[in-house]
Amino acid sequence: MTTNRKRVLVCAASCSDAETALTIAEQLARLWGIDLGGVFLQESAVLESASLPSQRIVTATGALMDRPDPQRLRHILDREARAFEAALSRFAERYSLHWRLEAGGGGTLQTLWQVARGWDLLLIGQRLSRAPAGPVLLIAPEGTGNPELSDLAQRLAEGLGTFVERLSPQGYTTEDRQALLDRINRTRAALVLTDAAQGSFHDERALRDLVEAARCPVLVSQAGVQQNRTTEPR
Amino acid sequence: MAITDHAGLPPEALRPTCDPATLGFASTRELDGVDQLIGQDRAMDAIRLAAGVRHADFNLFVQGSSGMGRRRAVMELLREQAGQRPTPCDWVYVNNFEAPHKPRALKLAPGRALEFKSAMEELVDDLAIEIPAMFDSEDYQAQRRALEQEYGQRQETAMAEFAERAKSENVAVMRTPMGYMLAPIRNGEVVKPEVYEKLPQAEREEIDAKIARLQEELAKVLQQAPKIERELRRRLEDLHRGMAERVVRDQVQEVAALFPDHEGIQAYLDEARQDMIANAALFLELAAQAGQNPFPEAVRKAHPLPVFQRYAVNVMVSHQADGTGAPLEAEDLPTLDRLTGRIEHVSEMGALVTNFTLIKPGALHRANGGYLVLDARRLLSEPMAWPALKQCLQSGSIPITSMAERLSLMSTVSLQPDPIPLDVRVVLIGDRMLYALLSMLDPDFPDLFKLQADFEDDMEQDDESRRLYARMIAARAKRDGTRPLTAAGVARVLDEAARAAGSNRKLSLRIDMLSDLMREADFYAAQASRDEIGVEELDRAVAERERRASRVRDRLQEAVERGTILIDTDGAKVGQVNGLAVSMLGGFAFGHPSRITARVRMGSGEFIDIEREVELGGPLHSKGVLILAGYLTSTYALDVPFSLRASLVFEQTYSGVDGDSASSTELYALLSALSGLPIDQGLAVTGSVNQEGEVQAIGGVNEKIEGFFETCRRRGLTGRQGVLIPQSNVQHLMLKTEVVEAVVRGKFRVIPVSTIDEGIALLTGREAGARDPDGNFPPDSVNGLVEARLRAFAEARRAFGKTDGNGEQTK
Repeated sequence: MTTNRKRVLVCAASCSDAETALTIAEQLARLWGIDLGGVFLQESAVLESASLPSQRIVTATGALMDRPDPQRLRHILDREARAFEAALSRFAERYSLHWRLEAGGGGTLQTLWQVARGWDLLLIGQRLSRAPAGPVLLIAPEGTGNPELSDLAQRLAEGLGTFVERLSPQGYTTEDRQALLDRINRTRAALVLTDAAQGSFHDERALRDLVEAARCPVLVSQAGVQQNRTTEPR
Repeated sequence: MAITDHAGLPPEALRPTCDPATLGFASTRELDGVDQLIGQDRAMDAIRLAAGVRHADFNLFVQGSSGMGRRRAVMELLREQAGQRPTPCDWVYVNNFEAPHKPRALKLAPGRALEFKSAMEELVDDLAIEIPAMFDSEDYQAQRRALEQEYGQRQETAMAEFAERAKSENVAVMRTPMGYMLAPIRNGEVVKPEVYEKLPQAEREEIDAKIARLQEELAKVLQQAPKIERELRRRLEDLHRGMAERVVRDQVQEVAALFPDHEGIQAYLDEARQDMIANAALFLELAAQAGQNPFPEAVRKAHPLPVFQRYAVNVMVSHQADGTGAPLEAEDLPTLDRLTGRIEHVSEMGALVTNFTLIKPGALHRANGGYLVLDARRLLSEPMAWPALKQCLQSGSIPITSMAERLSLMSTVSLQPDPIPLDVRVVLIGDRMLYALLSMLDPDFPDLFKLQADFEDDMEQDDESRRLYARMIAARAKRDGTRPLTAAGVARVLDEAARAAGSNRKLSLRIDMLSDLMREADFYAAQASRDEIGVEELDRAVAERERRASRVRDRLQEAVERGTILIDTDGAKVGQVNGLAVSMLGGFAFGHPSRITARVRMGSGEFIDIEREVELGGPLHSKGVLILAGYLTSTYALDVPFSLRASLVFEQTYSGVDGDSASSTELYALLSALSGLPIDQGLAVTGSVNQEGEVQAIGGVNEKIEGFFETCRRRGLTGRQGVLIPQSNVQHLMLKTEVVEAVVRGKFRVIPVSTIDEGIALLTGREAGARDPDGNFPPDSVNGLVEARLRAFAEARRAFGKTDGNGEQTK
């Protein structure tokens, strides 16, 4: 493992999502010196969907809440954004790190791919359910892989008290990617790692699919490098 | 008969001393010392019985005067007996896991309590290492991971299936800070509100219904999570229990194997095993903290930690296993706590808490199976100690109850430990009054203390007892580290022992007092560079001891000498006699003369005891006056009404007077007043009288004689002075040598009398007189004159009764 300084972009849609990302970031800070960036994810669809007549919130405990008032929802999101910024600041201060907010402090998954340019690692936080965390899923092809990422996966797994489960895509077709997503969807994971340069998830749409399927923090290496890749290798 | 015609007692009767030559040695160096009590067979037999008898209520009260060496004798004898008795069992308290406020008492064979305690401590220390190691093992980790994965996957699968269903129905699941929101998708994008509004009614309704249904489904999926979690927790607990049980069972079995036949320990270990399994987390938490401790885990002990106190063994009493015998305990501060034990409390977060490890043993625990010696007065002085001791003896157990609980001052929950069965012989050492009061006023006392050891104050004096006494003196000198005594010195000590006994036929057994004398004499011997203690040193010790205590006596004598207190020591006076009294200040007794006067006139038979009238006279003194009145009224003028009015007083006494030792003196004063015959003031009198006119023995005869002697000596002995004493007190004489020397020179006399007639004849120089066959006293005798006077009073009274108030005869 090289000891280069790494630039890590932390993204989250809520403060609790950010906590899971910072748990991973803490592991990274112990491995390397890191520079920290932050993006608070605010999907416009959330605000827009809130006004649908049938809309209700299903809480994490399974309770059904009435349709949220869009203004109140806006207020909550703003508060979460501030809390996210404060959490980043505390984290950076604790580990004496340089940090800044990217994209004006807010963005979407769609824009994230562009924002991630120039960052070594893109870390998207998602809160976990109360069940015990599963393995660290490493999405990497067999044989030719990113040894640095493999090593990182192992170290993160040790730090989280779990193990590494490797998922190798059969190919890079849409079906192959969907099969991988189905597998990820059904796997209880503590973290999903992938290399955007070598894996199946190399654009913003693929990233969104991956985040939805993972339902746990996602760590993408070289996210900004593959931003112009449009063809899928066969 | 003039007093000078009466020789009085010979000098040898006034101070029968011990002849050193009869002792058979020159110095106590030669003697084989007797370092035990002598003359106490009665008491020692009682102590031996108490030491040996098995019955629980045969406790012993040792009574006697202080300074007898009672405590030492009791301890030595009991120690000897204790060595022959079996060593009693050990006792411990252990935790009652089901009811921690009721600790359990366990009995173990002698010497095994500490072994049990040590075994439990090692058990805890070993489990503190093995349980964390077991939970670190790959076996456990793999099983735990498998369970966690299984349950985690169940929840994840439910969620995954829902996500797939939602996706298949073109519904997006969005995460918000408050939870999940579902929204319809069209062409891979979430339907915006403005697009939704433009949809046909039916399609909108379909979308709404679908969203609502999926919301309900998602809610159900998420509601399953706590149930799955609970199930996982239970499975993990089962796993932990199973893993812990393997380790704990093996370790506990090792301890159980040390006590295979002990049912109580086996039952306790079974409970402890279950508790350790249920609380395995305690050992894990300790391991988690271990990383913060500077000491390596192999060195750090777990058992002292408060969290593991629940497995401790509180050793209440432990004996050696090698059969050293029964315990012998003496508690010099017999408070309730020190006697029956106590339950301590510690402060935690502002509250007082306790547990079974804070139970502390008392003297009864330590003496259990053996003997306990207590000072009775100290025991009775301590609040609640005596009732607690009785309760323990009656119940045959040792309940531990604090003073606050007994007085209902404490309402907090405390411990109720199993009372430990009690088998002890209690020996109380106290004075006779205490024994009498307890016997009379405490109904429990005779039931619980059936034996008494009554220590003699003195022993008979003969050649054999003197030699034995000398051996005891030799042993005492050796024990006290003083110089040996010469034979003459020993004889001097024996004389002092007789003096202390108040009898020339006895020797006092107040050994401590004589030991004090010997030690002071040893000091003077050292000053004089002598290597033995002789008569001179002992005489000096006696004199110095008296000098230190005699300030008040000397001031009194000075007052007499200066005429402040009126005492005549020569001449003669009617109705006035020198009486003798003894005063006690601390341990020093001294005698001094006191003028007694009597005045008579016609009356109707009243005897005015002035002391009694002003409440300065005690009941015994009043009794004496009534007795002498009985003598008078039954001896003289029996055929006429008793027409006397007499008053008696101790002149110039302003503190209380009690005792009847001056009743003969008062009678003499009355007879003098009635007969008109003066009493020789060179004589002093002591003795009580009965209604037959017999003079009876009194106490303090030596001090009384010496008191009057001193008064006469200060004024100059005339050769006509002396003291009349009861004949029955001759055996008590052990006068100072200066008195004896004065008697030898004919300057002083001590005259024993048996009857009032003897005494009055000596005091007045006139025959007392006896009735002739006609029943008449000789007219010039004392009795004749007394009777004539009484008749005259009666006649005068009769004549007065026949006149009116003006003295005219009534018709």
